[in-house]
Amino acid sequence: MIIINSIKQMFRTPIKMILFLILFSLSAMLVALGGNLWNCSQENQRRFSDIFSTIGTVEQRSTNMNREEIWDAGLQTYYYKNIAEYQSIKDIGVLAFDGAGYLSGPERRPYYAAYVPDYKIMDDGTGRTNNALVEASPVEDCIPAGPVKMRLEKVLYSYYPFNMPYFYYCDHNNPNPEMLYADKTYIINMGEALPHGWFPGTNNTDGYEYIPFRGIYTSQTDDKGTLIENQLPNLSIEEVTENFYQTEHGQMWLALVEESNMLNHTVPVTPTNDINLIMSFFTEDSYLSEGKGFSQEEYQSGDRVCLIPRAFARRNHLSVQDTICLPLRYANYAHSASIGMGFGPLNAEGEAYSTFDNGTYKIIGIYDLSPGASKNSGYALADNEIIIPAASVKNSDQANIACFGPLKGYTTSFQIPNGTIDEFMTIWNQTGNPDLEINFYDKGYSKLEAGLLNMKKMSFVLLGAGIMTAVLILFFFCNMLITKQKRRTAIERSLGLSKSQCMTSLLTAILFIAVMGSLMGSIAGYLLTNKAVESMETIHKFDTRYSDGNTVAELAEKEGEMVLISSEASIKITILSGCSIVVFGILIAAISMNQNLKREPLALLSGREETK
Amino acid sequence: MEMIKVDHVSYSYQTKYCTIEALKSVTCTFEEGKMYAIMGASGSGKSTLLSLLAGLDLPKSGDIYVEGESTRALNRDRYRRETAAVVYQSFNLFPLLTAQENVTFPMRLRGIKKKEADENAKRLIEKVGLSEKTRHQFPKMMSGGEQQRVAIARALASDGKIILADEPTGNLDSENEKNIVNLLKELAHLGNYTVIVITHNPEVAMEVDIIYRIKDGELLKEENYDYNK
Repeated sequence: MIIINSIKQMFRTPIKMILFLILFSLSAMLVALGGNLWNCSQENQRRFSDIFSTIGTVEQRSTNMNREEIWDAGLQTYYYKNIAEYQSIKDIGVLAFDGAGYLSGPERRPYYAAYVPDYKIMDDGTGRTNNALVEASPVEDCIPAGPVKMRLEKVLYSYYPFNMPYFYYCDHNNPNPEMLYADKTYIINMGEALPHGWFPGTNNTDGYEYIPFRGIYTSQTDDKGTLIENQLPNLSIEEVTENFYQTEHGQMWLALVEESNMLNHTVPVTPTNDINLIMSFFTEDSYLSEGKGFSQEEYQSGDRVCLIPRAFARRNHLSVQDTICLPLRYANYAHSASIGMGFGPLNAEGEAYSTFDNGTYKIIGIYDLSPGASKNSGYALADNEIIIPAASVKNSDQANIACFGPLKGYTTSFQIPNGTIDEFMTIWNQTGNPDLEINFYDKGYSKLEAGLLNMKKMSFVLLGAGIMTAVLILFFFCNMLITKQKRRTAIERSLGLSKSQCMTSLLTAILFIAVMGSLMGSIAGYLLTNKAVESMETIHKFDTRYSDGNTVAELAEKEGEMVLISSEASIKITILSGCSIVVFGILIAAISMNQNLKREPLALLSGREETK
Repeated sequence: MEMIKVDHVSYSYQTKYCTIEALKSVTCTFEEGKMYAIMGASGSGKSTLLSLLAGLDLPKSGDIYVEGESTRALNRDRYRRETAAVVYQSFNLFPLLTAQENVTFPMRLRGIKKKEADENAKRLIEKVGLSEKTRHQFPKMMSGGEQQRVAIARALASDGKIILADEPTGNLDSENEKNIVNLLKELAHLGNYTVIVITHNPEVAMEVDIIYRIKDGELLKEENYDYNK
């Protein structure tokens, strides 16, 4: 009866009811709008954090540039090459400092050479310059300061079939080549080169000539980068004497033959603790097109799993779930696999490197190169480059470091939380390592973050305004509906209604309006938020192809190359804000009501304001 | 039989500027089956006494006993709901309820079913001389007299043993005044109710059994009339 009477009385003041309903709806709408926009900005920030990542690369600056003279027999002059010199090679440990806050890394990635004789590493018909290890004699005594005619005696190794009886040889980069005698046989490691007098754009009618290729030398170092003492003669041509191959030098030449043969079946293998740190993936030049990326468990436990390039998979009919045996022979810490050929082929003993770690890896993902991906920088992935978790290499590479060098951007990187570059650099600059240069790549997150913060501030203002409006409306309403309904309460009390019955009588009407108003306002706030978010979508489009573990299919679902970064209004937040308004309204009403109920009916009826 | 005993009751209240001594050690009794009048000048404290009798507040000192029980110990909500019905000078009707709904209210509060309450209300409204049309009107659509009669009907509807009325005939014409006074007299004498009215009207006072006169918060004099005279 009390409830029915209460609602009946409310409906008999329609203007007041509608006014309050509108005001209540308005405040609920503002709170829902503000709350939802706040939530959207938070959600977007979270999503951006998931999608974007901030990678830092580390490169040691050279202390000096040394100009190296190189003789060009064709031009009969020297040309010059700048060689960077480093006082000392910085250890990656300098990057471990308090407050760095790495999400991943820092890591210094070598690449390993894996000998895989059962796999094709190049498509048939793919051209490359030939190199060969042969025994040959000059047709006549000569100094190979220019092309000299040589008679082929024996082919020890050649990438392409080498079956011509004569070839031209020139000690091209040696300003003072030694005399070659027609009655002697020489072993030569040589590579194909364009003949003298050939200039780009003209036809090569004279055939190729051969110039010395890397000879017997080593660049093996310890794990600090110190070259291991050795007796290797650093020769690319040597006379073949009697029982030559039983001599120490002869053995080394045979080791070079073995190494040259193995090189044709060698693929680079890059160990990493986080695929995100490999710049080719970060710059979207490479992406997973099949299978999946490494899981945290695989990284941590060092599971023998790998990602292989599409071309290698195709060439060898490999697919996800297949396995591949990767005997790792040596490590190169100076270069990335795409440029890392300038090092000695033999170890300090003059032997081909032996396997230091051998394992069977399960292929869990296949990656592709994006169209137009750069192939000519150290940041690019090399042909046939296989990626493995660093911890999957169980044995130390310490005794098999074929080359070591300073930290390079393409070998050394780390990940920090988005938006913390300034903070990181402030602390880093205090560590006193000016010779290390750090470059950050965040795909524009820093700029985006400013926009996000603005959106957050705007939603905060809206939410604040909504709450303020709601509070003001509720106080106004309470004053109108409760304080001014003092007489009604007085009559009800005089007729014997208890305090709680009086409370129910008034609150029922307020609850009814509050629920209706909140419902309407919340729905309006929800729809408005979606409208607002929709209007912002046009300016918040970001390329998110890069993300760990994304396959092509998943990318396609993200509207091709682009994905809209926006959120929908949350039903949960909308309901929560609506309920908050109702609860808050009822609370204020109950408190106001309680002030009336504390007074005796006589005081209420007489309307006098008693003081104690 | 003594229905109400007022024992040295004082009542005061504090305003912003001063303390008002509304009642000063008032002592009197009210018996069932009798009709009383409380008379006095404006501001003499008669309405305050009526309100205390109605259980709208407690005395600052002294006690009011209803059937021997102090109002301090009573459940005063229940007392107002079931025992004491009040007709206010300013009617105190619910402005947003019709005459019928106003009269039905105390009955529904007592748990009487709607249909029965509606029938009773209709009968009571007729009894106080209001038309069928008035039954469905809101208070603001009625004259003062009509509102007063609705207020009386509501008091009757509460079915309490005590009826307290503040100037119940102040807005009525002589015919209606007579009817209402007769109705109250009947309730007292035939229904064994205790009826207490505040009035300035000597003609009404002439009809009651006992008159209390109050001046400046003090009960000055008790007069007994023979209503058959």
